[in-house]
Amino acid sequence: MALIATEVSKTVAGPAGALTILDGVGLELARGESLAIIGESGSGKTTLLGLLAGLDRPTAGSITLAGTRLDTLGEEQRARLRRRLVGFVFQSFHLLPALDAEENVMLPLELEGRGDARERAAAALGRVGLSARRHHYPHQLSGGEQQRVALARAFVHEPEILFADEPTGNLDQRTGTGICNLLFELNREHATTLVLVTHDPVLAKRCARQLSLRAGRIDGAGP
Amino acid sequence: MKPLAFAARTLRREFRHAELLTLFAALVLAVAALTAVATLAGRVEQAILDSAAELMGGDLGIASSRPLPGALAEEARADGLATSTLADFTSVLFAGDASQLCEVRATDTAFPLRGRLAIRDAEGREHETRAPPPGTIYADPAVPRALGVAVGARVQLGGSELVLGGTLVEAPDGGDLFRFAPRVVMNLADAESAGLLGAGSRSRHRLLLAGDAAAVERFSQRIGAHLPEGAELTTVEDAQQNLRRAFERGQSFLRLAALLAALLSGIAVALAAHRFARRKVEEVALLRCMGARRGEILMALLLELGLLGVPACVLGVAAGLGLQQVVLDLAGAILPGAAPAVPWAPAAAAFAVGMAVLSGFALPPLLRLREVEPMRVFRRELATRVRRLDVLYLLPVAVGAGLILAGAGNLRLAGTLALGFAGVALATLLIGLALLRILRAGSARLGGALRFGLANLERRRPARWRSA
Repeated sequence: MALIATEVSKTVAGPAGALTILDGVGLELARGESLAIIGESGSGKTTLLGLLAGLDRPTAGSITLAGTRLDTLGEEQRARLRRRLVGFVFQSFHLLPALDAEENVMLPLELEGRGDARERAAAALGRVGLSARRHHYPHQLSGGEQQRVALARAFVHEPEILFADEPTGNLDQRTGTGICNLLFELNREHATTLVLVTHDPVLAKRCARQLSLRAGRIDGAGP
Repeated sequence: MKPLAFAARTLRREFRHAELLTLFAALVLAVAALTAVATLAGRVEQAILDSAAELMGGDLGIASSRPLPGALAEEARADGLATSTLADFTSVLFAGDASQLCEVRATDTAFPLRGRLAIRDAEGREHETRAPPPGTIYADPAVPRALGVAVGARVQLGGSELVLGGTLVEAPDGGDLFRFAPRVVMNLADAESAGLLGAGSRSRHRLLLAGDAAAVERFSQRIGAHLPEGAELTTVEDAQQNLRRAFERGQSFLRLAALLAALLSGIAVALAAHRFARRKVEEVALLRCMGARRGEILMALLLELGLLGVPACVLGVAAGLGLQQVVLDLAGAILPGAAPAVPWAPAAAAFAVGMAVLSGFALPPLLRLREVEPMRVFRRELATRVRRLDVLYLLPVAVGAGLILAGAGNLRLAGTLALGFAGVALATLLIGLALLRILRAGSARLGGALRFGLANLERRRPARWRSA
């Protein structure tokens, strides 16, 4: 299994006492599978994504990513695991404004200490059709181009699992569809496990499985 | 990740950001001020110490408020030493209705035993000379200007009529640096015959001696034990020590003025670093999310500021050295002797202070970035609040206190200064808050833009500070 979550809960301190964001969520995902997490705003989708990716620790329950229990690891150990196994795509792209497209794509490879970062980044940018713009800075690129750079960055180090948070949320429909197609193409090519948070039912249906959340609990699951 | 490569790559693009330019400029100014002041003061001090014998006009001096016995000079001459007798006093020079207060030196014609006395004659020619012959005086150029006369004119001093034989170009007494009134050199015999050195005069009498170092030392040893009452023996070393003490006091004030510039720069650095850190929160969260270690990220951020700070300090040193050279060139005429070589210690110290200011004032907001959580890439509301009693605030306080202590040189002055700075800061804060309160009370009558600006200021009150 690529990902196993068992009875995962997350409670935080709120102004009116403890606030439960997730309550007993469980899921299993095989290698290469794709899962869409859907639900209304505030249903706990993003919190679950963060917990599954090892960005935060659950208050209760366990999460196993590529055979390693995340909930028992410290932040630095989880960071080491993320560096090696995980890729991210964000709604607001999150490219570093001071680095050009190629340097942004080089980041995951440089974090791994790979010597061929520049060559591999150039190839990844070629794959998303941005060879000619590899020395452009984020502010010189359109939203769609920025998200393509983000896709190249997410896949360049061939992660085992990719977490995507509303990857088309900041794009118009036509550009969003193009980005969506590219995301699934790359996912197939790299045989990456995909966990995707979205409001978009069309995008959710392109995933092999869907998990619906409501008020922090699983409301429904299925293909 | 290679933090140095990452920092260099990021800085290449970010250098033009306002906060980094502010930080750069603040460091350049601080280091330039410190370098210029310390180097200039050091060179001037060295120039004057190097020419201490010339400043004295001899190798050994015996001074008294009363005329020295002639036997003293005879004894020195018997030992093979050259002697010169002189008296310094203040008097007023007249030419018709015009008058000028002067510092007068009455000497015998042996003066000066050491150093150079040069004058400019009526034809404008400069030549080296000895003390003026009877009936003649030499004076600083300011004297004939003030009296409205030219070289060769007749002037009155102490009731005697004397001829202005030339204007002084150079005299062995320290130049204009320590002078409150223009100089006049006259013959000792004229001063005595005019009664200027008689009972009740406020003249200072001196016997200057010069000769072989061993003979001077022997005479000094022997005469030291039985000096006339009220007389003082002054060696070149004594003169140097006195000068050094005077310079240390002067330098202390200059150093503190430059230090104030450095501390103000520190505040600018702190504000710029705070903005820099706030802008970096998203970047840090992303790097954490992608698996970068806290240490790697912090190192990259520190290196980015270091890559900016080191050239800023180097530029500050270069600017400071250039500035002190310009001042020295402009002021060269009032300094005795040639300017000494540039001492490198003050420049190195200024560079070190610049780096200390950068570290002390920029580190706290950067170190706070360690607390940025990777989940912030999804949730911006996870901004880390500034802790009111954050121990990191002690770092700039410690650096500031260290700089004040180093600049003041003693605990008492450092404590007074630190209290002074704290008082000014507190007063500024209170005045600022009072102004805000007054403006807020009258905000209803203000126009739209002013009201909006005021609301912004109110929103940014210290109690509501948020940060990285």
